[in-house]
Amino acid sequence: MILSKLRIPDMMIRWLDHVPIAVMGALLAQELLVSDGRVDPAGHLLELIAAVPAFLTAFLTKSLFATVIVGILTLIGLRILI
Amino acid sequence: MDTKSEQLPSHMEGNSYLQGFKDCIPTLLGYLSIGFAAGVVERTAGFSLLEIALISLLLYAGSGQFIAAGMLAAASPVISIIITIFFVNARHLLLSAAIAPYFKGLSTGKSFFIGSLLTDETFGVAAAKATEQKRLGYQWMVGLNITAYLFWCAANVAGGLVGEWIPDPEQFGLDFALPGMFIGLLALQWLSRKKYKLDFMVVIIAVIAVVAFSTMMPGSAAVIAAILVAATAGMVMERWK
Repeated sequence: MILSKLRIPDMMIRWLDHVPIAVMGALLAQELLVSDGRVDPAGHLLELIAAVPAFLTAFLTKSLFATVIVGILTLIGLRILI
Repeated sequence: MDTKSEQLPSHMEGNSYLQGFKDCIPTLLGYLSIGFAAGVVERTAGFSLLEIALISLLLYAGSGQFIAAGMLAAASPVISIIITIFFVNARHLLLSAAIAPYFKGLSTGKSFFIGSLLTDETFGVAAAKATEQKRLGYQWMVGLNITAYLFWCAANVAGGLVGEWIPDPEQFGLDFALPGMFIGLLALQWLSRKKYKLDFMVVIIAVIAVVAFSTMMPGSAAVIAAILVAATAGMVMERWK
């Protein structure tokens, strides 16, 4: 609304263009690699394994819902097995 | 969406709340699945049903709500949550600015009402319509926005209700709903932007930055710092090419 009257600096637009990807990468890494302020991939081993089929599902189906479901089911399976 | 050509002859006919509602329908499945997942995640993060309804109406942002739930569960300070969500949703500045010319002449209040309820999906529908006509109708846009808004809230509450029946979320793998959603959002963005190499580098830098910063500052600050570093790196790398 306000921006329609202003011009956004070109550099700002190009910077903002990379923000969503950076945000998702950063949040995902924090979820899967960090716990309680420590870098702890081993503590998230099962989730890291479950992330693989979740990524594959996302690429193949392009569906958020299917991605989450496959990840959850994989994690349940791993927890039952291990 | 298929009804577009029928209403083209008369701009006034196309500008109705009902037509806005109809044009919103194809997007509702997306709201249902993401909103439902958001409701479950919010419930497992300890939100009450009332809080779920309120966050979906007041924040009204899919990724923003996942982030809020995750960061609140991790006891992050409120200011970090606000800054992170601001960055995640900063694209709305661009979305609103992009469709504003199609609503020239509306009062400030009406512009605000349209802009504040704009979503990726309603923006997508509006942008598609804007390729065929010079102006977009206010009533049509309000019908589109409100349909999405109410459906989103309902989907969140439905997810919260189901989440409530699940006594031990971890046992059902529901703690993966949040990282799973981030994986999905990341993969979908990566696929649709088609800047595969560059975006991959940005993600790698973001991951390394989070890991590095996590050892020296609280997690929420590490996320913000990593976003700043990775987005800046992306901008610089793009310029060099």
